[in-house]
Amino acid sequence: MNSADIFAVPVGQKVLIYAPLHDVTAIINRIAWKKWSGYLEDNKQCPESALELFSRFEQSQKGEPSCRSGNLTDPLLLGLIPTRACNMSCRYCDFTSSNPAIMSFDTAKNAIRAYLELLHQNDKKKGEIHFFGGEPMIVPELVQFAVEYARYEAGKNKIEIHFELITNGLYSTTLAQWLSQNFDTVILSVDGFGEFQNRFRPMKNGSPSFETVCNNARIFSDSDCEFVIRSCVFQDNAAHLPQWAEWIGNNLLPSMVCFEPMTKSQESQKNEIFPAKPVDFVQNFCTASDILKNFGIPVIFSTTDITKNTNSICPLGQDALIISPEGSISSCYQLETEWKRQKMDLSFGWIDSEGFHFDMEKVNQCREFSVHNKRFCENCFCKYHCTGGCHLSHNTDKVSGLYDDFCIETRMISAAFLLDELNQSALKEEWLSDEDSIRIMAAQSSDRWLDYRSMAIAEL
Amino acid sequence: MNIWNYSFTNNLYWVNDRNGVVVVDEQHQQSYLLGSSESILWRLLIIHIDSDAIIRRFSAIISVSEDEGKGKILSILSKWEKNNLVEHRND
Repeated sequence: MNSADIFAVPVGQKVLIYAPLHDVTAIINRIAWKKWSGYLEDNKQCPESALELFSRFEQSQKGEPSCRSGNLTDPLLLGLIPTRACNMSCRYCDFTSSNPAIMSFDTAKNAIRAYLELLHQNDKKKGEIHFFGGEPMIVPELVQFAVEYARYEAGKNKIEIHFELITNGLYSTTLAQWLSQNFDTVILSVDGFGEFQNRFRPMKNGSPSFETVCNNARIFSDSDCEFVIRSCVFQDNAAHLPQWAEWIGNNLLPSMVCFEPMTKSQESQKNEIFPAKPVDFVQNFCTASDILKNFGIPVIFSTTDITKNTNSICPLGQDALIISPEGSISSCYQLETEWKRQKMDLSFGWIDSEGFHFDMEKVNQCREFSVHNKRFCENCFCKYHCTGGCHLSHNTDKVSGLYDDFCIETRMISAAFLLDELNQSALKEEWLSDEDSIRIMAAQSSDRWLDYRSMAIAEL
Repeated sequence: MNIWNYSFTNNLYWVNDRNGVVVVDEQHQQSYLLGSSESILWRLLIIHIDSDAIIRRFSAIISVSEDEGKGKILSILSKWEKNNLVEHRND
């Protein structure tokens, strides 16, 4: 039995055992934890009391999620960035450019044609085309053209395309109706009630945006597209998350709600917008999540999807083909200036009328963005769900176990989701209301059960 | 929609989703599942853009010249007229 990826996480008076590569999640008490730890280390015959749990480790053993290699024949998705321009002026957003380029119809057409050829050559019958920005819908003609062209061309080879849009919802109801009828998934960013949305996500001219966005949210909600609400959480709106969840549940019917903690940016610092304290974020997240669960609406935080193991949660490392307005290809939808600031070059090719041109050396460099190469994450129980977060903006060039706020939030919410999976809602509530217990868990430098001697729980 | 004196007939409603466009003619109790290029044209017509833009976009989507695109649009409109989906007004 490979014991290296069996994790033990203190949750109040209990210990959460989690082995994602063995499909095992369990709660044991501290006495059992102490008694069984030695057996795990010495690989001795385990006692009868531990037999059920230990045999499950033996029975189900998956490999680590693998990195991509070889030719680029199975891209995760085709991403189109019609423009970096936006009609909003979010107070924490660094996506600003004085003269943003707009993708030409030819670039969109070439990219779609080359992508569909790649799918057809490799006998794939399903594809994904995602639109990122800026705000894609400030060039609606380009988006409408790309969707119609892709659907028409894909139909010739009976390929089914899933269209996804990340949008701010600031446009006419006619356009929102068109989106709701032609996109499979619409991810709408809205940061809460009018007092927050209008203050932190105003229109370019400073006017309030809530009413328009909310009206369009109702259109998406009433349609049969998969509608996802994404709210950015910071210090000012964190405490309102439960009321916001209640309002969503009473007024809209999204397929899912995503609450993401704000990442510090130059703009957020300039405008004195501060991240929520991790414990505040997590407690309000969990309360909001329980409220929405009662409406049948799941809540996610992108680094805590415990339903699957992966080595990269973002398109980077998964051969996504994201096309910039100018036609260069990368797997990252962040701004090129941001890569450069981090001393990275994530572009690995370009598109023209002859098709994709890949620099395979650079493709392989991008495939290296994987949790396997992050020593910082190697002892964390969240490693196969969080994968170290954004490869670009989350600094993992640190000593393992030196967690920052983002890690702490991920660790706590992952543990809360695992407790939900085990129907341990009473334990979850008790643990989340005890700040000392939270700190002990959040600060545990290695979660590997094999490192049990150094775990905080050994001292309890 | 009003393009080259064609306009939608009354008593029509349509369902436009990711699988295509279904047009229902209530008066004649009939429904039509539009083909792929017909669906493209229908969706372009209902977003209210001018006829030049419709020809330009339709031709680009189905990868033909604008002359060919215009011919194809006229033939689709003529087919729709026979099926009572559009009517042609002679000035």
